[in-house]
Amino acid sequence: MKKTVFIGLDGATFAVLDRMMEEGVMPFLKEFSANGSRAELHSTSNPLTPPAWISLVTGKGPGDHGIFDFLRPEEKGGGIVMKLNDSKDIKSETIWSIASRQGKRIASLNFYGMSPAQPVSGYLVSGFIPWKHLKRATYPQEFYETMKSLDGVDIKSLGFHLEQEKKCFQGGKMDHAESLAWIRSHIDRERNWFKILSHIMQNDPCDLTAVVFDGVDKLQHLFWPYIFGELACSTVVTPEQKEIRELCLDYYRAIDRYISEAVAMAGPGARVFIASDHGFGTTEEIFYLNKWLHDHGVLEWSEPNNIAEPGKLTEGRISSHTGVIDFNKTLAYCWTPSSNGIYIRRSIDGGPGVKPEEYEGFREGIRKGLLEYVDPGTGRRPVKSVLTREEAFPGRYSHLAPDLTVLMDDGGMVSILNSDKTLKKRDEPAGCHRLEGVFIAGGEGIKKGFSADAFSIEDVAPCLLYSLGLPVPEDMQGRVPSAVFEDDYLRTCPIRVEGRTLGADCSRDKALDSADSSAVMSQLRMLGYIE
Amino acid sequence: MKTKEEILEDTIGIINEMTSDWDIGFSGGINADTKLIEDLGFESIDVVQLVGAIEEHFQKSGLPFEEILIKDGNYVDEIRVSEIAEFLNRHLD
Repeated sequence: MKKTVFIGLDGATFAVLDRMMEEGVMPFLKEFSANGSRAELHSTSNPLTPPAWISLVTGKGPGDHGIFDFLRPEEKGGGIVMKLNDSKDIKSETIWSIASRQGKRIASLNFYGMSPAQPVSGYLVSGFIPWKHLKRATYPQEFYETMKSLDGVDIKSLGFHLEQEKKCFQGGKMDHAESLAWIRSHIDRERNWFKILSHIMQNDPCDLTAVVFDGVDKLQHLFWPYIFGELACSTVVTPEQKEIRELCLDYYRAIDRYISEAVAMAGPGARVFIASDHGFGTTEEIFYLNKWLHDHGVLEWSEPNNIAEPGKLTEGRISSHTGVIDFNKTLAYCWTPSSNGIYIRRSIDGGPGVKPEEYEGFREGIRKGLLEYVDPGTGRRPVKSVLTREEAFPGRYSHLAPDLTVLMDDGGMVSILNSDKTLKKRDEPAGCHRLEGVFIAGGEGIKKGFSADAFSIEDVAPCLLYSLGLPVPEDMQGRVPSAVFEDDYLRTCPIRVEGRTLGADCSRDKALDSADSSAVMSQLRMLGYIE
Repeated sequence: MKTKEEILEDTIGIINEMTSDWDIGFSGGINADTKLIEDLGFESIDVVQLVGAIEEHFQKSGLPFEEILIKDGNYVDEIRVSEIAEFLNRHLD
């Protein structure tokens, strides 16, 4: 069986990549794409890193894997406590586990939400983890020491720097020197991840090797007007602006080289898949969602006069998310800019919140009101849609999702802070997430020069399992995007849909049925934990 | 069931393991009086990771750490190793 390689480019969009390919910034990707297949890849209903990457690696929607955001609120003692989602909160089995228990070796590098690291056959190093906690995020833990010892690898560069990355949500500006240092830090991070990838591919090649380069998203959040061609024409004028743009292009050039080298290391006939968790586009305004909720009498501020600085979506400290709102007097609130979601507090045993019998009417009232909101300056309605949790995230764990998800017509994230106006124009355009990500594939059995219709991010996991020669579990919502595979290949290697995924927490404290239990014991035996 | 002393020892062990690579320049060794923020440079994300590591070690999830970590909606300014151990002593079976 030929090797399968997956390269994730967080936030990549054809709106940028096509121009990069045409302008000679990404020559390998241009050739690879022309000789393979491509399609738009549609993200989750709220196109956001945590639900999207988890959907990609589980083949299921957020309503079934249970991850909707980086953080989740939990009601405790009348107040709200912040919880950080991690691998233990994923309710579905990942492809790393599915492939491992069926005899395949995998390498999973820098994927969101994989810490603490779960046992696999191969290697797993989680992404979005501060370097100080990478050891706990690495399987096997001895591999952490291996990574530290690799020539040219700076373990501290692999980690997620919270203070740096908050800039993506906080707004505000960096001076020129800070901007250059910030971009260089991301170029350096990817170089370090590529060294880890290369080490594995050269020394212990796996059946499935996968890595995510997340700097695409970070750079696009902060430097979108310098990267997106249509804006760059008017944005990049001064020598300093040109220097920033050129450094951003250096980032994309480096990614192109890494893709090229990874394809070479994978060997002849290997199948290589490239995908993003969501796309990117331009946003020119900020909707202050909690202000709207306050104006409609369902939210109270802790400090009413604390008006947000221009461009700021959230507070500096994550823990201060809870501090801006007076939860004793609040019935509905937006928790994070990333969720674009409204949580409605339910009254339990007569406590604070909306009574159960009033919930549907209350929720519909908010939804209707948001859809009817008109920008007094322009007369337009900036809220494109407001989805209930059942609509946005159908599934067993829909009840954990925000009650409502607000989608703006320009795809922008909302601000959770107070403001003097509900809708404000940004000082300058910024980048924001969009539904339409990318999928590019090449190698044995992949159609050449083909452009397929868009498909769902949930289809990537089945695609990778099929590439490994494994069946697709029946309970995955995604399906193999057969359009990108050659007819001859599909005939000789027919797609099999059989079996089921194991419950994600089956090895922890949940009771197993006999089939699950047997499968788990097989996995543990295979990994050498038991005789 | 673990004794108070064993729980303290385990807690110190977990924090030692977590911080072994941090170059924090803390001399004297971690003990019951060690302060996570002043002595070890913990940030809120480190506290979150510590909670996870403790829950894994003791095989107990959903412990109400907010009792000792959150005050008036914000993380506390300081917490000692002994406070964590005492909390665990109260909540572990």
